[in-house]
Amino acid sequence: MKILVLNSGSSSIKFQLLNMNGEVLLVKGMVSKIGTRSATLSMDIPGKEKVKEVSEILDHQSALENIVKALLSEKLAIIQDESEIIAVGHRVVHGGESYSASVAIDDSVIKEIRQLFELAPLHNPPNLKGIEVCRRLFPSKPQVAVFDTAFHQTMPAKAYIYPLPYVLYRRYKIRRYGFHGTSHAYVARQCAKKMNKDMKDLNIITVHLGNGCSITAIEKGQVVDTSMGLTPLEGLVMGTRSGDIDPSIITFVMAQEELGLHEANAMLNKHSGLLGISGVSNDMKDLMDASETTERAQLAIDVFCYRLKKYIAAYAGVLAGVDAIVFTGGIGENASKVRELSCEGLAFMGIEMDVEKNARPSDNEDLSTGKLKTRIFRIPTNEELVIAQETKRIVVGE
Amino acid sequence: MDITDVAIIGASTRGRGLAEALSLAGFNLTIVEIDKDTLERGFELIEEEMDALIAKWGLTESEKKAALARINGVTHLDEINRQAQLVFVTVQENIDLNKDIFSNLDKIMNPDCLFVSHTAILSITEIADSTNRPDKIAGLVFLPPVTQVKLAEVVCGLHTSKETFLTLREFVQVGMSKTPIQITEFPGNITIRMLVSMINEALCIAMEGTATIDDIDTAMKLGYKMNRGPFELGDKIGLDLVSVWMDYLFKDLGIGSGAPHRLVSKLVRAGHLGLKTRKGFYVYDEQGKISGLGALNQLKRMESF
Repeated sequence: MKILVLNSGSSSIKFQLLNMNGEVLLVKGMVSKIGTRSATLSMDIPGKEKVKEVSEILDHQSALENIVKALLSEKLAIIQDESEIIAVGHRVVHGGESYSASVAIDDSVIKEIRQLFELAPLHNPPNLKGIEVCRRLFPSKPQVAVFDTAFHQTMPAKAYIYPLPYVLYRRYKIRRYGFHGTSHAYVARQCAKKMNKDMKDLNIITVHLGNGCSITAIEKGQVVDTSMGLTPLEGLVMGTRSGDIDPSIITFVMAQEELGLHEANAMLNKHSGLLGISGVSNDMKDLMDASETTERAQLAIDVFCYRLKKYIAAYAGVLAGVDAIVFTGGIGENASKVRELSCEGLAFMGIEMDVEKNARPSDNEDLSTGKLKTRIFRIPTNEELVIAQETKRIVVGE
Repeated sequence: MDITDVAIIGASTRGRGLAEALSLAGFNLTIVEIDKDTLERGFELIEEEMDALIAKWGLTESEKKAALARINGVTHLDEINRQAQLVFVTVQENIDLNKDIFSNLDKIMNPDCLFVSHTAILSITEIADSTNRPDKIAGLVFLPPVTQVKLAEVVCGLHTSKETFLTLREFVQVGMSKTPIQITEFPGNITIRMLVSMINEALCIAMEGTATIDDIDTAMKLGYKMNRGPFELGDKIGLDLVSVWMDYLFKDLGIGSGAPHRLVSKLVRAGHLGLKTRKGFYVYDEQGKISGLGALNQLKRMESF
């Protein structure tokens, strides 16, 4: 039983084909630079050489046609017939307040995703484009939407309402939504498995540190708070995004530097965070390399970890004690120093990292000293697998 | 028709502004500029302009690199990208020169290709008559800085087809994220005609002794939320250009819309062209900030009496 998973962006489509009998990855790949004459289709088939083709691909439709053609090619021998793909799972960033779980796509779902364009102008339009193209190409295959926001929909109002005039919530649905939900859900479930416990018996903090960074407090299997808000700009320091700042800074800088809305937005989203502080790079690995010689690289790391620690401690308070902390995402999985610094000094609340173990983590091992309440794990995320599982669950039932 | 490749004829101010905005919007560009120095200088200025956007956080280094890689500069019309679906002509606003270029383009470009003139005053219909595709000719006018101003005037001549108009409207709206407005060809369109009338009227007010130049600007800025008053705007655009527009519109529109005030041509003759010479209605410091009133300071403030 094969399921195609798509993550459709404005000029790229990432895809994976999984055989759900045994959850085996058959191929993962991406078409990038869609809309140009030098679009690239790259594919990684486990156990085989990587494939890369450059050609003219002017829109999402022909991108997807190219993907299907490659999957069917005799040379690569991934599948023999298109009918082997039983369903398509789509990543959709914003599900608003309408979706607290994945859903089979029909006309009303498409209408709803379109209505959410305003809240996710960079993500939902290309996500929808991928869905529409798939419906044209495979009219008889079921399609499933898996939302980044869905897992967070259990948050109570006290966590998602902003202290602003309430009319803004009514008028524009301005509230906390949270993102990376698929990743937080996956690593929380994996964590419960490792602890041989049911999610319902655990309080977990999941920390997703990738290009974007967010942290989630999960009480007995339900999200009670998360750091990203109306948009993925709020919360932790990120590669190029500021995370939390005093809102007055925005109007002050706009007035002083005569910035328009576009510049102010781009400043906070593309020129801030690790890159903004360090002036060196938005990549944590580059900063680690530069930290001994460049003061501001070290400063960026310090700010990043300090602010993350504040969130961990705050969410430990929200949960009245934590059974486990899980680190995931590129930085969370690879930067042991970040894990160490963000837990430093929290032994008083039951969180104590074993620095030795943390420096050489294996995926199954508890990285805490084991003497106090909280377990600490590093778990690689796998959002595509979740999308495939969700798609399977909805298409064939559990 | 999907527009992915665009050609721009001319690398002076308007051509450059367009090239910057279109390359940032993701289009593949060819700039045709016969003068090699102007072309090279054009590239330098596009890069400087992008650096200024980066300094104000409106752009990132990698976005700049990707955009510059999309621009190809050539010095002969024969080297134009024949696959372009749209050609902008941004040469001097001289009717014979424009007709000549459009007729040459007509011979070498694909029959489906649309040609647009970035002109504020020339007749699209007259230009279209110099080609064998008059239905595919229109005007498309942006205001500087093109990357910032959200307006696009889509100008239809008498021959422009509905299809051409719809394609251009889509191009502007979806491709460039700007708001298109439809104009039926007339000298000055909306923005230039209103602007020239406003500057002319402002000069009359000043010369009557009703109010000073800077007070008129202050009144318009605060009263109507304008970023610049009429005099500052005139200086920014360049009084030489304002003077050309005034004369052309006066000639074409007739006496009803007001005779060009002689003071503008007086300043132009003295070489006081506005911001670019740092002398115009105002004088400017090296950073381009107003440092005082210009040569028309003979219009004294009341308070100094």
